[in-house]
Amino acid sequence: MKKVIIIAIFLVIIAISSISIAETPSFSLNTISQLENNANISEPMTIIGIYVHGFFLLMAVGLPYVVLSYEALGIRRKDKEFLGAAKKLSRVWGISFAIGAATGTLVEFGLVQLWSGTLVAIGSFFFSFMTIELFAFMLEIVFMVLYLFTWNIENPSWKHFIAGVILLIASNLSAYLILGANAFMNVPWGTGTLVSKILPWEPALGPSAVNQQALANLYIAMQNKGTLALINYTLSSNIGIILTNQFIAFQNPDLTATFFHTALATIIIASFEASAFIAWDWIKKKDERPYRYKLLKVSYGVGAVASILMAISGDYMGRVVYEYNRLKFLAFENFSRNGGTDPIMGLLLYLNPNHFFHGFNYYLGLAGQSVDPSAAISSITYAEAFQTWAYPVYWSMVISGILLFIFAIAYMGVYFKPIEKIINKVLRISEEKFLVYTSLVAPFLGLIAASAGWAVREAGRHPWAIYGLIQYWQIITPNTITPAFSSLIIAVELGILVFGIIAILYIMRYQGRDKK
Amino acid sequence: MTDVYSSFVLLGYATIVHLFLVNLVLGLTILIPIMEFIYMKKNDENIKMIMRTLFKFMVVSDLFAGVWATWITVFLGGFWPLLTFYATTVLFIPLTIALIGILIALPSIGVYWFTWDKISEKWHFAIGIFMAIGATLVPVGFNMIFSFINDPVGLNRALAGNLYAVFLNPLYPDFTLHRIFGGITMVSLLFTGIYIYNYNKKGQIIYKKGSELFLYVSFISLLIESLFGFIYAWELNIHSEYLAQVLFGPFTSSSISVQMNMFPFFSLFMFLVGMLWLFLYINGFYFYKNKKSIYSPLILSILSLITLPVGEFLNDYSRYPYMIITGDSGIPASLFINKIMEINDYWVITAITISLILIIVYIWLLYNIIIKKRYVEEP
Repeated sequence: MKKVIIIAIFLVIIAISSISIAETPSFSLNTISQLENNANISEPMTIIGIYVHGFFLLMAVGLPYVVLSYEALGIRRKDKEFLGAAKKLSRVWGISFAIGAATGTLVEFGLVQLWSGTLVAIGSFFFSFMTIELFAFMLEIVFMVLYLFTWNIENPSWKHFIAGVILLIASNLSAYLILGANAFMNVPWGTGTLVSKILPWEPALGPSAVNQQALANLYIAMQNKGTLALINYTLSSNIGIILTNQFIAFQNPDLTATFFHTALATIIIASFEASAFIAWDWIKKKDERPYRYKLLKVSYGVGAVASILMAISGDYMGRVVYEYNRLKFLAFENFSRNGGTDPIMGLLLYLNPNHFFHGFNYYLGLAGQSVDPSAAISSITYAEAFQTWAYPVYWSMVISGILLFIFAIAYMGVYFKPIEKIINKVLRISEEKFLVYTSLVAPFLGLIAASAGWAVREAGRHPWAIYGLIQYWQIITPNTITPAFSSLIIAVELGILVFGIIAILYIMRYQGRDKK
Repeated sequence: MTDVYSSFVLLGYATIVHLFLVNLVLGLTILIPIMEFIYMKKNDENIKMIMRTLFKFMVVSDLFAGVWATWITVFLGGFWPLLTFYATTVLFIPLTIALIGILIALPSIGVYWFTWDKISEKWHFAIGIFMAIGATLVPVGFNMIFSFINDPVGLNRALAGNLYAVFLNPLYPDFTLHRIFGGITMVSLLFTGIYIYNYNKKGQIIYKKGSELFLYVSFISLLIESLFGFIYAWELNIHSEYLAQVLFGPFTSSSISVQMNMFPFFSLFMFLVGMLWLFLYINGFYFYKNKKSIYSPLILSILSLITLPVGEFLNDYSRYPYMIITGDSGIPASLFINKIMEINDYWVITAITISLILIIVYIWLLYNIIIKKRYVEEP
């Protein structure tokens, strides 16, 4: 029976693959609405692909902080329990990295094959990010192999720890560079006043490092045809040099904010996920509680420190969004069309709780000053549509963040008696139990916050792929993407997610089960 | 403007390194399930141990090959954005097949790894077959790119809406089989040398078993590979005259004018293939006659590692200054180069230097971990 089921699954996969490939026949998209439809069908698989990729990569970026904390304590105190925990968690780090790299291939294909207009950005603004990322990626592979294969708990060494630190730096550098490309999509830094000509409310986006005429030529070429314009291989000769400073996008304030915000999010989620496993074992294995609590204090501590720092980075991120993505800000803060006041935002941004924030109508009035008023109006229309769901999603992020911040403060009870006493008095449980129980909730809060934050960030710049310059339908492939094809890829993405989670659970539960 | 030649060299360099690694991976992913089948039939624990060593080697190689795939993608997008746009648009179907292959192969490798000794042998073998199918689909898809740039069949029909027209390329079937057997040949010859060398030095039964197995596979795959190589050369002569003239020089009947003469390199390549045959024979002869030689197996392994990159170099470099060959001429690479940003040569020099350093470190690591077994603990 088992054999029949597995053969049937294989056959279904092959059949769906064949149908989806067979149903992708044409190259006949030539109107904006057709391209928009193509983009809309492609978006779900891209979104899910990026989320799945992100799910595993957040472990690869965030988990090293916990692993290396354990290892450092293990070496310093000659404690095999810490070293054993570090070694076990490093396997999860390794498998997350491997699955992250595999899903990265999927995302990479998605970029160059589905959203093939992105190639223009890879050949210009993203070039330095992508190229330096290659070295970071290669460094990661080399040190991942070195780190995983050279564990020696019996004779621990700082050399092994340093290899882990280099690996951590490489994985964080990799994240920084990829986020650099994403930050450019949100705030195309280095384009000077060009975006403000299309979206008149935008400030100058840094010093101009572009040939404005060449970029305007590209804008016009893709305005009505999207990627069909790229079929003409004399196009790039006709456009001319777009970018004069390959490193200008590194100065993007959105990059700094996004990197710290995202890196801290990965640390929070990964450390609380590790804490959840430890807490579960604390509950199940009563005789091992002192050992589990010892580990929990470290993993929870890493998450707590990151949660406190997150408050600072969140504030900075918000200021950057307010400055450069005003419509997104209005949408997720749920301002009315005519604008109004928001005491908290007024106080934070202007030290004035009565500050008046303009609404969408004000920006609609500015659209007439644009060189492409229809693009400016469509930005506002999308932002208003986005507002209907952005507000609750944004606030789910904020509330999750606040709860994690409270957990982080409460964690300090491990070291400060007054905080411990407050927990004992208010919740009538010990500090230890507080950490155990909240460990089971915290990773979900982290995941909710990260998913919601990323959704607001990405959806908030619609209809733009690169804000104010290139709309998303302009970079979609001219090949028809069918729902069957999209369904196949989504099925594969979800399959990888399930497989990856099972692999991680397997390692956490069964590998080295009898060893502390 | 970006320098065409240095960009061409960089892309070629990344392609050759990547293909070298993926051929190792491809050959091993096909051979490992075959070995598992033999193990199941003969119940020989030595075969199982060999298989496990090779699998570990394959996983580490695959990780590194993945990095180089990203290198190629970034270099294509960065230096050759329009060419990449053409490839991803016109060759959408073959690239999707390759993607599906990757998506089947990668999880299968993971499942194969984690289910070793934990499920029945037959089921584990079935997963191995699935892994091999996935790995084979990758060259089935990607080799269309190489066939297409040698003979862009189906371009106009693809642009008119028929994306399947590219499959009519006459070079494609043979070239794909040539590549697949190339991977098997490279791996089997490499390990023939390694196992005979170890057997001669240590005399253990496991090395004897490995030597027998790989000698047998090497002979068959090298025979098939040579046959497909000959057919491919013949078809180049018909469908890609320019390349044929560059490569085979005096042995072609056409007299079209070409930009370079690669016949000396082609002769070197043919010499290497001849040497592979010679040293395969010598090693087989010595092995079955119980004569011990240290140098001949080492030479066979080294030759197996050199021949493929030389062949790829010939295949890629011969087209310069063209990027796509169209019968007796070609479309110049300069038409596809990135003209929207000036990319300085320091990017190219830095990329090659750093990657070479990291390749050396990586090989050193693999040598210590897999061959010398310096580090006792494993992940």
